[in-house]
Formats: sequence, C-alpha cells, structure tokens
Amino acid sequence: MNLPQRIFWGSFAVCAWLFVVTPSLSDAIHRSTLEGPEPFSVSTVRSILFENGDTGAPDIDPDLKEMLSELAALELAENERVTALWSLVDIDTRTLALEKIGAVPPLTYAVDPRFFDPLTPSIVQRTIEAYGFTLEPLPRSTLTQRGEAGDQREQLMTVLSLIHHDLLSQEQAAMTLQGAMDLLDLQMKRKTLEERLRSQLEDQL
Amino acid sequence: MWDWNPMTTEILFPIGYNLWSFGHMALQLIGGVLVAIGVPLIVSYNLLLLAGCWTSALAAHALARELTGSHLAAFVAGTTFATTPYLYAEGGAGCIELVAAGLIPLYVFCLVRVMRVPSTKRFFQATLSLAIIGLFNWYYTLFAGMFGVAFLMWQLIEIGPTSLKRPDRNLHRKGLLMVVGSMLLAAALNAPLIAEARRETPQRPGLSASLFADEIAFEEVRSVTNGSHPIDELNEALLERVDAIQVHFNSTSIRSLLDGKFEVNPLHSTPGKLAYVVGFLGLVAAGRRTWGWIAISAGATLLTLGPYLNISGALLLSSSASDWPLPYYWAHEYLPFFAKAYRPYRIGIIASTALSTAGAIGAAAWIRSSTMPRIQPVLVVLALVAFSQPHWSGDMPSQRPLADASVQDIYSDLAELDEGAVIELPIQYQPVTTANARTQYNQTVHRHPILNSNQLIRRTDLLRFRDFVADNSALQTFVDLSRKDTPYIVEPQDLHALKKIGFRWLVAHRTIPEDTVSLAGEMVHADLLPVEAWQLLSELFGEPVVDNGESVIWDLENALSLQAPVHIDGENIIDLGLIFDPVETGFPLVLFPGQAVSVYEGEGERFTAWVHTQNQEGETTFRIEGPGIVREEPLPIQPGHWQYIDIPIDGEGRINLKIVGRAEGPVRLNITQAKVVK
Repeated sequence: MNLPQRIFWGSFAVCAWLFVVTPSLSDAIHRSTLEGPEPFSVSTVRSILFENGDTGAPDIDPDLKEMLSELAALELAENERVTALWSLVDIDTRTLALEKIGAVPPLTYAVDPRFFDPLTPSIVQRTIEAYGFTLEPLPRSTLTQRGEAGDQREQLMTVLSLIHHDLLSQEQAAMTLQGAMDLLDLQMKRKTLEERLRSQLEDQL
Repeated sequence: MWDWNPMTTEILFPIGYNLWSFGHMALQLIGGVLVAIGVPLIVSYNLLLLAGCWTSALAAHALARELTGSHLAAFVAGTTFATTPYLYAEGGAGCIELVAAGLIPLYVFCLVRVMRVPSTKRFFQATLSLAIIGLFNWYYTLFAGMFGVAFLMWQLIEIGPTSLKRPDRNLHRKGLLMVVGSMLLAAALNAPLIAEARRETPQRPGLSASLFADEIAFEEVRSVTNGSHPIDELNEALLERVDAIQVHFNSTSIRSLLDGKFEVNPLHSTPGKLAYVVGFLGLVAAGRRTWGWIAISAGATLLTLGPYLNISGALLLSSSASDWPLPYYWAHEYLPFFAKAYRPYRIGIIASTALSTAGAIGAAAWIRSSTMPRIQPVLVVLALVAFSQPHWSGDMPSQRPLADASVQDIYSDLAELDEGAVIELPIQYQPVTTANARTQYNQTVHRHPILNSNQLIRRTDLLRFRDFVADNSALQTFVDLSRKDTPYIVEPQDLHALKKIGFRWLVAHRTIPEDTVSLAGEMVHADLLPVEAWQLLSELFGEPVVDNGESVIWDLENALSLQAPVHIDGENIIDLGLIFDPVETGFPLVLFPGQAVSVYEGEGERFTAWVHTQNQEGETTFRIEGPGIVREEPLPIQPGHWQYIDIPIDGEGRINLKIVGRAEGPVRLNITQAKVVK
C-alpha cells in the first residue's frame, strides 16, 4: 500500500474505533457496573437452606426464621407500594409512559451505596424536581401481582417515565412522592435486614 | 532578609512543617523570586502554570524537530503533547510541578542528540537535563530514567547486540556509553537529595490485592481520606493501608483509556483519545520508524493500569482481578525506587511523549511524500480539535468557574488584632474542602501563625499532628467538629495550655461560599458547624471579639477564667433527619409558588440549620404555626453561599414548622444539619 492508501485506511480505522467500537465497549463496561449483587428473596434463602440441610428439612435457627418472615413481609409490602404507584394513572396514560421509557435520562442514583436500587431514589428526586415537594397519602393498591423483579423494574420505569414526561397531575405527583418515599423506607429496612441475614448466613451458604 | 531555614511554624503551629520539598524546589525558587521582585502571588502562580504548558509544547516540538527536521511535523508533537487531558487535570488540581512535563521530552531530545552525534557537549546537556528534573519533580526524574532505560534497550535491539563490536558501529557504541554515563552522572548529582526524597516519601507499604477488594478496608481508608475518621484512632498501620490503597486509586482503568476524555479528577486522566489517534496515524504513515516510540507508549500505557487490571474504574476491585498482577505490580515490589512513583496514572506522560513524537514522524513522512496533498490544512484541523477539547470533551474543564481570589473580610479584621496563633474551626486533617485548602492563602492577609494546614498528606506529618492534638481535649474536640457527635468535653487546663503555647484567636464561619470546585466529592458539609458546636464555642469563649455577621473571631483569653470542664451533651437538641438533606440522601428541596413542607411538629425554642440556594432572600420563608401564633419570615439567605440560620421559634406548646416557597417560580433549597433546640 502506498502512503495515501495507508492514511485512508488508517483514518477509516480511527473513525470506526472512535465512533463505533469505543462507545459500545465503554457503554458495555458501564452497564456491567450497574448490576449490583442479586437481592435476597425468601425463596432463594429457603432453597439454599434446604440444599444445605442434611435431612432434607432445614434446621432453621428461630432468629433466622423471624428474619425470614420479616423479609417476606417487607417484600409483600414493597410489591404493594410498587403496584400502587404504577396503577395511580389510567391504563392509557400508563401505556403512553411505557412507550416513552426510552426517552427517560439515565438514572441519577446508579451505583450509590446509600440506596438499595437506583430506581426509587431517582423517582423521589425527579418528582421533587418536576412537581415540588408536596405529599399526599398514596391509597393502597387493590391489584395483586406476583412481584417478580422484572415486573417491578418495568413498573417503576413506567412511573419514572410518567414523571419525566409530565403525565401526572399535581395531586398524583404528591401521591407518587409519598408512595416512593414509603417504598424507599421499606427498601432501606430490607437493606439492613439483608445485611444481617448475609452475615448470619455466611457460614451456612 | 531571606530566611533559608526550611522549617516553619507559620503553619502547623507550633509543631512546624518542613517546606523543603524535593519535588518542588525549582518551582519554589522561581515562584519565590517572582514574588520577591514584586509580582503578585496569584499572577506568579498563573505565570508558572502557563509557562508549564508553553514549555511542554516547546520541548515536545524540539524533540520532534530534531527527529524530523521539520517544524510543520514538529507542530503535531507540540500540539498533541500540550493538549493532553493529563496536563489539564493536573493544572486544575493545582499541581503546577506536574504541568512542567516538558522536562521529559526535553530529556529525550538530549538523548536522541547524544545517540546521533555523541560529543562531550551533548553528554553534559543530557546529564544536566536529567539532573535538573529532580529539582522540579521526583516522579518525572523516575519517568525520565524509565524512558532512558527503554530508549537504551530500543537502541540496543535496533543496532543488534552482536554487531555492536563491529568497527562501523563505533559511533553507536560511543552514543550508548554516553547515554549510560549521563544517567549515572545525573544520579550521582542527585544523590545528595535522596535523603530529602526519603524523608518526604517514607517507605511505601507493599501492595495487597485483598486490601483493594475489601469493602471494610475501603470504607476505613475512605474515612481517613475524607477526614472523618477519629484522629486519636489514626495509627501507623492504618495510615500504611491508606498509602497502599492509593496505588489502586491512582491507577487508570480500561474504561478511562477507552473514553480518553478530559476529567476534572486527575486520577481519571489519561494521555487522551487525540494522543492515541495521532500516535496510531503516525505508525500507519511512517511504519517501522515509529515502532520504538509506539512500543514505549504501549509499555507506559500498560503501566498506567497499576498493579491489577481494573476494567470499569470501580473503586473496589473484584476478587478475581488480583489473580493476574500486571507489570506495575512486579516493578513496584521488586525495582528499587519504583515504589516512590505510587501514582501509576502519571506514567501516562511517557506515553504522551512517545505518541506525540510518533505522530510527528508520521507527519514528516506525509510532508516528504510527493503523492500526498499539503499538510497545512490537516495541521489547522488538528490544532482546532486539540485546543478546543477543554470546551467539549468529558468534564469540559474550560467551563469550570475560576477560583475566587478574594479573601473574606474577617481576615482583614484578624490582621488588625494582637499577635497570637490562630485556630480555624473546624480543624481538618485532610484537604477535603475548598475552605480548608484556602487557609494558607488567607494567611497571606492576616499574617498570624496557624495550626491548620492542607499539607498533612504524608503519614509522618499526620502522626505528629495527631500526637499534638490528641493530648489536648480542646484541640481533639475541634478536629472535625462539624461532623463529630456529642458529647463534647473541654478541660480548662487544656485551654491554658493552648494559651501558653502561643494560641490566641479562633475563627469560625456562619457563611461559606458554595464549593463549586469540590476537591473530594461533595464535601462542603465538613465545614458546616452544627448548633452543638456553636453552643460549645459560646460556652467556652463567650462573646466574639469580632462578629461581622458572616464570621466570628473569639479571644482564647476569654476562656481562661473557666474553672470546670465545659460539657455539651446535645440532649436538648433534636436532629430532624430531613429526607431532602443533600448530605444524607442527595435529594433537593424544590418548592413551587405557595408550596409548603413541614419540617417539624412538637415543642421547641429555636430552629437551626445550614441552608444554600441560588434564589434571592425572601423567596423562601419559614412559617411557624402554633397555638395563637402564625408567623412567616424570610429565610436569611445569601445566594451561592451556605448560611447558618438560627431562628427563635417564640411560641408556646406544640408548634408546626414549615418552609414555604414564595418566589414566582420554583425555588431550590439545600438544607442540612436541620435541628430544633428544645
């Protein structure tokens, strides 16, 4: 190859590197950092205990049993708050928000050790930013759901989209803020409980 | 008269501090001369900073000109080298000795000249250029030495060790011998300074992979580096862990190298995308002639990654990362002196030198080619891209506000007071906030000796400081007073001891400019004294001798009549723990017109807090509702500042305290340390 050809292909490689390879690699690395440790769930812990039990029936310490039932109650309460937040608006508005999720800016509290997950504090922060700090009790949800992590994430992302696209009334925003703060409170309790559980189970797992 | 004694008690009074800094001597001398001949302090500093950039560009240009014989080609090297994100980040962090990076290409320039035409004159030029680096920067001495060794190996490989004895290789042999000789002579010239270097950078602890992956150790180390660890619990072992983990914190990551953008934090800086692009195109254009430079840049880049591979730049390494030590690990552990260069990211300056030179060699190939168009338009584009980077790349350093060079009025008041050493409150043992970093600058106005210093970076100095303050209940209480929990107990005899040593004045602030250029994350709260601290200071020293509304000065002599210990237990104070506390949660408080947020319901005498907003006074009000009382008053706010507020409630029985938005649009308020005194 002569010099002009080398410069041409070199410049081509630089452009591909700068505008295609580097951004996608950097983004992939960034995304991988957002994945924190798997949260505990009662079923996961129980199954581990069953696996480790010699007789097939785990010999669960009473303190541990109490912590597990507390964890189960917290999970249920969180599910209820998530559903309540998600079902605050009618189905058409929810569908619209779901369609617009892609336009929601990156989460503010990604990889923040103060919080359990980045979604709930981001909802609190963006509701305050967009609608001001007003609180109204968020009614209990009449819907039920299985509470799988994937569902919850999508529901909370929908709530974030509702806020970002200004699809809430002032009253709904006040309820959303209260609901998100309730949820945050439950999550912080779960975070503390899981830390206790982790340290207690360290020898058994 | 000039005072050549390096020990001063003007800072860290009375224990003193050795100003003889091995890595800064030459800059201290130049700066000192500038100030002595009447150039103002700030102008001197800025001149040195700009001179660092200019000389870097000129040295890289000279090296490339020597290699290519073309000023146009050398322009590529000068431009690329002087616009690397590393230089901007170090400049932004105030490390002007690191901006004087042109010493490295200058030394390489001398090496190349010795190898090309060995002569006594060139031998001494190479020796002197290496020896003089030691007066500017210890790191760069080591890096220049590393470059010298890499250059020797490259020349040996290129000549071929077996053919060295051939008669036609006489010139090469002479050149190699002169390079080795110049390095040894430069080392001998710097030998008297080694003792100073050892004093300044005490024995580095060994690297520990488990330490870099241990969350508990990380939290402990972080509490020391942000100055919140109890000072009396600092010890040699803990500070060695702090030193050891610095190697990891100062290593770059694969992601930082990929991004290669302008960063505010120098720890994340790299040679930058442009340098790698220029080096790569140089390789493509000039081929074999650039191999040595490219090999050196690849090796230096690998060393910037530090002892273990960090893909994402995470603060904690994964446990598997330590299975594969990188070359830096072996060099740090087994090469003499290498451990002194415990900030791997700085090795990027070697990569920058080599990449920019390779780019220039490629440009020379372009210029010589009869098939290529004129290079001048490409150089114009390169210059535009390179010099505009701070405006659009990464953290965009050109958009950062300039530091405010004014000094608060209280220091002029302090200058008028009698002699006596000063304690600024709170005392911090790490340079965590802008206010702390400015204590020595403020001293240029008030001229009193001060206990405070932002120079407690080395563990030997920090341990001396710990020993001094830990012996005195007052000083121990004053350290990190803003973040310290009650109870506070100060013994009267310790106040007498302070007076006997020579202390006289204490300074504290009710208004603190916002930290727009945060040094260690959002740490301004480390400066904000809570109500319990103000109670303590009032009990100890009574009425301030100077109170200008923003800051106060107390006279230590007012406390000498105390007979019993002063004890503040904080039991009558309720911490409101607000959800929108920026320190606790990072949530803002935004209030639209007429919106009100309740902060407290119950009994109380006073409401105190630190507040910060960009809005004008009157746009946020404080509303007190209680039996027979509804009162609303504007929050006393100075936009762009953190302000301590202490509002009497003046109500009986159970009251409800609210903050109300009264602007025409939304008001954004940061509020921390919100407390009610019962």
